[in-house]
Amino acid sequence: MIILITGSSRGIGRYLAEHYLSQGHIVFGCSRSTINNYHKNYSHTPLDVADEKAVKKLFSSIRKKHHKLDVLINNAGIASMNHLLLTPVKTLEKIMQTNFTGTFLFCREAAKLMKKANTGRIVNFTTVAKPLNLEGEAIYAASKAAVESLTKISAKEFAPLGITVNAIGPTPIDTDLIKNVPEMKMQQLIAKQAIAKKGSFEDVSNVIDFYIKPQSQFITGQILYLGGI
Amino acid sequence: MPLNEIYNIVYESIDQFNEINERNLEKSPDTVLFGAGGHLESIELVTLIIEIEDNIDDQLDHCISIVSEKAMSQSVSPFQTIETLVNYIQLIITEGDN
Ligand SMILES: NC(=O)c1ccc[n+]([C@@H]2O[C@H](COP(=O)([O-])OP(=O)(O)OC[C@H]3O[C@@H](n4cnc5c(N)ncnc54)[C@H](OP(=O)(O)O)[C@@H]3O)[C@@H](O)[C@H]2O)c1
Repeated sequence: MIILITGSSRGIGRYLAEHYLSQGHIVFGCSRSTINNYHKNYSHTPLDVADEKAVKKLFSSIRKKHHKLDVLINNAGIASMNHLLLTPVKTLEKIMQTNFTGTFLFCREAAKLMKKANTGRIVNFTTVAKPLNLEGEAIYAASKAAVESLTKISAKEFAPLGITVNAIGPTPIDTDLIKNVPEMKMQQLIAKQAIAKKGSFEDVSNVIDFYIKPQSQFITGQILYLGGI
Repeated sequence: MPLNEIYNIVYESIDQFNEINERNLEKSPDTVLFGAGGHLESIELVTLIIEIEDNIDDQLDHCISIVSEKAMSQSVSPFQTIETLVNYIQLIITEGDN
């Protein structure tokens, strides 16, 4: 399959790229930073996911090379933990641009390409912080609430095109994204889960494997949270 | 960018569109595409626009977005007829403004 993963330079995205490369798939990745190419089936494009021109260029190159895209994984995301009263508008704008505008742009361009083959899978990223309404995460959770609505509505709009759109909501997983969250806050958060522990990269890939397998063509518009929320 | 070059690409895209969708959209500047008296449903218009964008990208190496705020705010809708569409494509290619 041809798989495009955003935010693939580190963290969950990097793990997913390696996971699908090890299964023999062709993986396109992107992030703002450049990374050394580490696999013959991997190509990396340095871009900001909210940069429409750059995103269109990336899709143009995938189309010219492979004429199709089977799977899009909208993993790129940023978070910021702050009391609302201490949140600058700039922070809000950056989070919305990356998490929401980025996801929207990739969904739109992917659907144009997938439409031609009348099949495709899109997986978006939300978080347990959204249903848990975590204090200090208003902007991050709101950006992911937007991603969830986008997921559910695009699932309806893209269904006639043969494209499914689903989302995964991870619990905390050890990556750069959460490294600055105080341990006490982390423990309080995890205690709200039915299974009170951090998640792993494999927990994420397991859900995505399910969403993208051929038998899942009837699964769309779903939001699956890890950990029991 | 000469208009006839854009007409050729649009007509080529209409050929592809007609073939895939078993339609018979006429290749003439006056053909009404969308809106009052239009021959296309909105999803069909999207399909045609995608074909045209891809062919322009392949043949002219211009990665354009035909559907944009600018397109929506034109006094004459670019999607009214083939002629308005071709004129609009020429405009955005010339301006390099997408
Ligand atoms: N880890 C968790 O605990 C957790 C929990 C719930 C949900 N999630 C979600 O899981 C996803 C991945 O998170 P992660 O933990 O792997 O984060 P991470 O380790 O911080 O990695 C984020 C990735 O996204 C890229 N990125 C960030 N902003 C970008 C932009 N504007 N344009 C392009 N790429 C950008 C980063 O690369 P560059 O910096 O080079 O651009 C990096 O590759 C996110 O959507 C996050 O919200 C994570």
